[in-house]
Amino acid sequence: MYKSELSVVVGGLSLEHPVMNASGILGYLPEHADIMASWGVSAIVSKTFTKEPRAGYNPPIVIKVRYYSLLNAVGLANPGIGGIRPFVERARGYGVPVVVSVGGGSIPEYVEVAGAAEDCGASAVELNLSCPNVERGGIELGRDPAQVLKVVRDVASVVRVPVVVKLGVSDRLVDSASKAVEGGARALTLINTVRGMSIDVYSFKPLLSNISGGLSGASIHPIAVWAVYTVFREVQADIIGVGGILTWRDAAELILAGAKAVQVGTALVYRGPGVVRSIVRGLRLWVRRVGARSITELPGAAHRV
Amino acid sequence: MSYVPAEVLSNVNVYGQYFLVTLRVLRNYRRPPLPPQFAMVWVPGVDLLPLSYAVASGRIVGFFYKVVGEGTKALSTRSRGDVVGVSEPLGRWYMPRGRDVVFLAGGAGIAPFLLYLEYVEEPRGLWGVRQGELAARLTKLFPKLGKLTVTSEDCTYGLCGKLTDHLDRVTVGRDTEVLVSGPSDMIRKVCRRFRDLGLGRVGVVAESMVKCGIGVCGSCLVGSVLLCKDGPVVGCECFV
Repeated sequence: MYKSELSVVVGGLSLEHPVMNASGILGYLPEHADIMASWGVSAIVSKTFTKEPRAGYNPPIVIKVRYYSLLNAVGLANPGIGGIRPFVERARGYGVPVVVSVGGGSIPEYVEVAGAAEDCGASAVELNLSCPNVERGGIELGRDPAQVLKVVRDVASVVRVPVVVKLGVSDRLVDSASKAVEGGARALTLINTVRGMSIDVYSFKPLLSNISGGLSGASIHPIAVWAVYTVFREVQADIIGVGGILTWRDAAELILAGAKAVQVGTALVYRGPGVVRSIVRGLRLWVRRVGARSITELPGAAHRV
Repeated sequence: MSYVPAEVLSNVNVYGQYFLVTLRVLRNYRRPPLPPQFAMVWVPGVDLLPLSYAVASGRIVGFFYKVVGEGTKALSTRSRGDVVGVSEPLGRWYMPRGRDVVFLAGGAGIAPFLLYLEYVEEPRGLWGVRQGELAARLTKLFPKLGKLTVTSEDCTYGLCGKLTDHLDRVTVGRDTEVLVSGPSDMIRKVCRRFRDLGLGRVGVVAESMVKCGIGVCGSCLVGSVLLCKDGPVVGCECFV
């Protein structure tokens, strides 16, 4: 592959540029893969698949909140393990790595779904250890470093493709991150949504049917920068930064904090499908502006000043 | 999506399970609703319903709906002074290019055309209902509906039978634009007929399960189109 100034390798995945989509924006049907590929992402990241199909919660499941942010409680709606193959096969046709996000209510479920993703041709699996919207698994697993070690080790021992671990912010983030790496994670995705809530002031009812949900978008960007910065300093790992990237500047900030690649989600809602290309263009100019030959010189550069 | 709070002005039981709710939104829309856009109407604490704008005039908006589940049932119990939430207009507005426009609606599928009637000068077409009484009563509320021919299955109003029994009454020329809305099997029959005729342009005002309304959850796919972003008008190829 032609090496451009933006091409990166993260967690064993070779990417043409550092911008992929964040899991959770579309991403479980073949038709979704067509739309996602049209955004120009360097890797297609699926929505989280679980072993059994899940209908998700009743609407309202996503609401816009100030400023440039979303609050969502979709409830991991997905067609189950049987939906992975049609999605991955379609997505692979676009010639970019396909990352399957894996969820579960128990460790054996994570192992089974990750194994199925590999069998279906996924380039990597991203373990969602931080979804705030499910009762079992999800964020509870990610908060407990011992559990993180166990689930990552169990998955990494049965799949050959890179295992990426997505963690949310918690008091023990650094511990969880280092246990994930000890367990065999090739990269860490930081951060997931942050739990939040919104109430209608006329009816006094919470807006989301699930009452609370995960906050994404500009509101959480400084939290993501801090999380990436802190984990980069403490843990030797490839980091994929995610959280409130609306423009190339936000992406550049996460890269300087320590991310080798980034993911974009909420921006696709607020800035439309052209946002990925716009961020990539901005990053290219930025790399030249700061005098780097390649963007690979820049991850973690904020630690060197 | 975000919501504009809206106060119920009236909620009329038009006939049987069919209602027309009129609301006053408490904040201005950034963009006024145009046909056949729809809104997500939030019944606080109960459900979120995708409903086509039937009325849109300044801050007054109206929705014609049929009670089919818990959400619509709850909406039907809201009365003057209650507050619900209405999203910004969703989907793309669409205006037929030619002058010759034909509307074909089945049952509650008439909803988006109620707003179209404000914009299209000489509309024609068919509206199929089970009970003629529904057509009689809604026409009193929307006099311009009188320009469409009603087909009633109980034979009490307009032509007798189903809409699809009377499709041969709809003449189409090369410049005719047909818009169809209603149950899927009706849409399929209409699409097949006009495809076989090889005349006119047919657009379907589609319905789908809409959950997030902003293209995130992917629930509203019709064919390969995300209805909440790029619909609700889709081509016949999504149905035939």
